[in-house]
Amino acid sequence: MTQIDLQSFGFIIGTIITVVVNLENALEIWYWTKFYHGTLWMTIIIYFLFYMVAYSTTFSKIFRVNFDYVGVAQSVLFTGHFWLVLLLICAILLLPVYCREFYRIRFQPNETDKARINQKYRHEEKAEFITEFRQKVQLKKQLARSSYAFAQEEGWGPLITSGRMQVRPNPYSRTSHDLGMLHASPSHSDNLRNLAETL
Amino acid sequence: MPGQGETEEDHEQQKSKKPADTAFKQQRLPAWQPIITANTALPVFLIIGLTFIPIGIVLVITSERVLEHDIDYTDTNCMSTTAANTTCAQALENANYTGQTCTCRINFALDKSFDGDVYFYYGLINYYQNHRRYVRSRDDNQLLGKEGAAASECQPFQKNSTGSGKDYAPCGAIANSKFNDTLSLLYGSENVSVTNLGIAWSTDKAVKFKNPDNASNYFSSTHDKPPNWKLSAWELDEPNPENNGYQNEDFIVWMRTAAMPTFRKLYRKLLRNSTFQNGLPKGDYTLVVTYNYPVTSFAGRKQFIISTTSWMGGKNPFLGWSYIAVGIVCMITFVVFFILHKTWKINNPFTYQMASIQNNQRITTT
Repeated sequence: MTQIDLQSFGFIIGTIITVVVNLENALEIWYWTKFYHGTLWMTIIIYFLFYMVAYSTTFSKIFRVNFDYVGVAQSVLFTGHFWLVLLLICAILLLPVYCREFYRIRFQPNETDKARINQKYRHEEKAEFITEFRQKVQLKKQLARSSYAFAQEEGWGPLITSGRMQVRPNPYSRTSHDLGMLHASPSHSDNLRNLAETL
Repeated sequence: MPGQGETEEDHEQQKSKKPADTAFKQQRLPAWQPIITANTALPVFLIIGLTFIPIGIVLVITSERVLEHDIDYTDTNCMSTTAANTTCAQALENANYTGQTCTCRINFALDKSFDGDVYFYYGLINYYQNHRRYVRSRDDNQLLGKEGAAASECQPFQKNSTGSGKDYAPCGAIANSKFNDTLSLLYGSENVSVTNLGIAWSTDKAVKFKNPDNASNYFSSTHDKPPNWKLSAWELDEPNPENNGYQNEDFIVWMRTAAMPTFRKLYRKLLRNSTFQNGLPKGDYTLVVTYNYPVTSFAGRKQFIISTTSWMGGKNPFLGWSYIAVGIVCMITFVVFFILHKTWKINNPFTYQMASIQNNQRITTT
């Protein structure tokens, strides 16, 4: 048997609707600027503040109105029961949306999703690529010096004059363009192998 | 020259149409981009599952600790003490609902002692206090003691059109149908001490209900009592003028219309003195009912409820079980997604770029 009255029940339903709808919208938004943050949180906060003021006894005394909802905000918002119900209903209504989005992005990403993931996670990948690349370039520099040093030895001459140790710009490598560093020689691994064979 | 002038103006106009180069106008505002990946979503499910289940368990335990005892006294339980072999419901029906009173005594026993604060409620079943026309049938200005005729919203309980033509005070269907059974408890032969104060909302009592000036005259001569009332409003609690008239707390409680057709309203609170210092002790009790309120004509039922409370309110295990259910569903979802995440290999989008670069590198070397 419930003890709740009609006006409190209506207020609870209205509050839950407002909060859930705002949070569902938040799940759809891709770019959280500060304007959006402000709109979202202030909507919810102002909703609560507005009704706490509008349904307060002070308000009703100032404006000398007597309406059914006086005292409803106080009787509803200050009980633990209401907040637990709100949390539960938000969970029940938002988790399926969240599940569906997660499933879609993780297991069936469309091109837009892939592009967004690349954009967000590329910088970590970039950093790895840079370190790996730096290692390779340093190794190449050392090798270039040492190849001159060993030029007098047999077998090095044809290797150096063949032009395969030359630095060549690679127009297809995106990362090298972005990084603005020394261009990678695409046949670098081949050079290393040849060097290893001749030594 | 005119051509040149035009092009200059056009040039200026073209220049002025361009929005300013601020971050806001060029849509370059810094933004957080939430992307739901497995690393963020799986912990969310796990955390929600792990927090909801304990919350649910706590709520169920809290609700189990609340003790409650109901007595349905609509018909067969409440046998009239005056007429032989008739229930009070039948006694009222036989008298054709002309305001007869019937008393009955119901013996019951409490298996456990109800410690702490104990509250007494009356409960009604199949009683639609949330009917739209019924809810509107009141006059809030009259309840504030203001002068003026009763509102037309109170029709047909606005004024005594068949008799004196005076307004009803209080007017309206809600007031007219006020619950008027009297319920009291005996512990053995001793009266259980109860109070009828502090049962209404404090905001209601402070702001929504106020007696008019010269109340005894108002209620007795200038206004009539509603047709279904036995006593006028000024006789509801004569020893206590603050609780009399419109400010009577039982009346205020009744005027707060209930949301559901099965509801209960606070009737009395236990006064904890002498024998009842710690609450209601275990033992045999007698409920003495003055049965005035007829409900059988619309298949309604009446109950008397004795209950303790917790910080959550009355006995309400449903919320606890819902939390546990949602927590379990979340955990199952977590396990399922975790397994899928580990086993379902798709063209992993994180290495999309690396794959294309490798492809391009291979192309240029051959």
